[in-house]
Amino acid sequence: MHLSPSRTKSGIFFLCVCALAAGVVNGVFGTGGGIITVFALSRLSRTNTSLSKKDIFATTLFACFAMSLSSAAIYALSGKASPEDALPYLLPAALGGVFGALLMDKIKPAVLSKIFALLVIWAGISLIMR
Amino acid sequence: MYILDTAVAFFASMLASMGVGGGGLLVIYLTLVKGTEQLGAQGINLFFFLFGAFPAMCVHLFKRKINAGILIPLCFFGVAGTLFGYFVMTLLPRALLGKAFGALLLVSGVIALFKK
Repeated sequence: MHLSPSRTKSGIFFLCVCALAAGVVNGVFGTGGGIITVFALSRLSRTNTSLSKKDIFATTLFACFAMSLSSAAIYALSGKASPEDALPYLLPAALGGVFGALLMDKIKPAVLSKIFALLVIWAGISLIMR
Repeated sequence: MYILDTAVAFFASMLASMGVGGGGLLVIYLTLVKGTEQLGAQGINLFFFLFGAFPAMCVHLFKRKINAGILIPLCFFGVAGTLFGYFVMTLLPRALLGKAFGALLLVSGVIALFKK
């Protein structure tokens, strides 16, 4: 784990604002914070060349874990979510997580990303029209 | 249905840990295929994500550069944001929550589709 901070004060301010926005989205929707985090880190990587695309995704995963842990705790404490409801999905989630992390070096996710984008657009329209 | 649940959870988690963006896929499946209420789907997705992300993080920790100088403010302000986000969510009518999530998906999908 590297300990070098990001380069400038404006960079840190930008990162903090984006992190706050990502947290708000995660708190409202229980997901989605990663989109903003990837955007922020991609912008920062223009001045911090040590961050590769894969490092950005990995850092985003760590940040989203912290946000989701916080959101899950609030949802559970307020009775809006129960871990028992998620039980059938937990083992495949853990296996899929390891498999994806190992597979990241083997395949280029660009094509998958475009297919996923189309699926997300369809789902977005379906939810709005419902 | 259990096989489909397992397959969707596996692939959604796999895509999320690859950085493709599968974090919301389970919410889409639960709301549009299984008819789960939006808020319930969000809650399930949070616990699902935590279980998928943790082992993936262990793999990434040894293979990637995780910059603590960047990660610490991201986590601190991100967690602070979730508290405010939860407050905002409690103010939103349930019907609007689903449509707002749909709008978020639409915007993020269009961005991902045209991103170089």
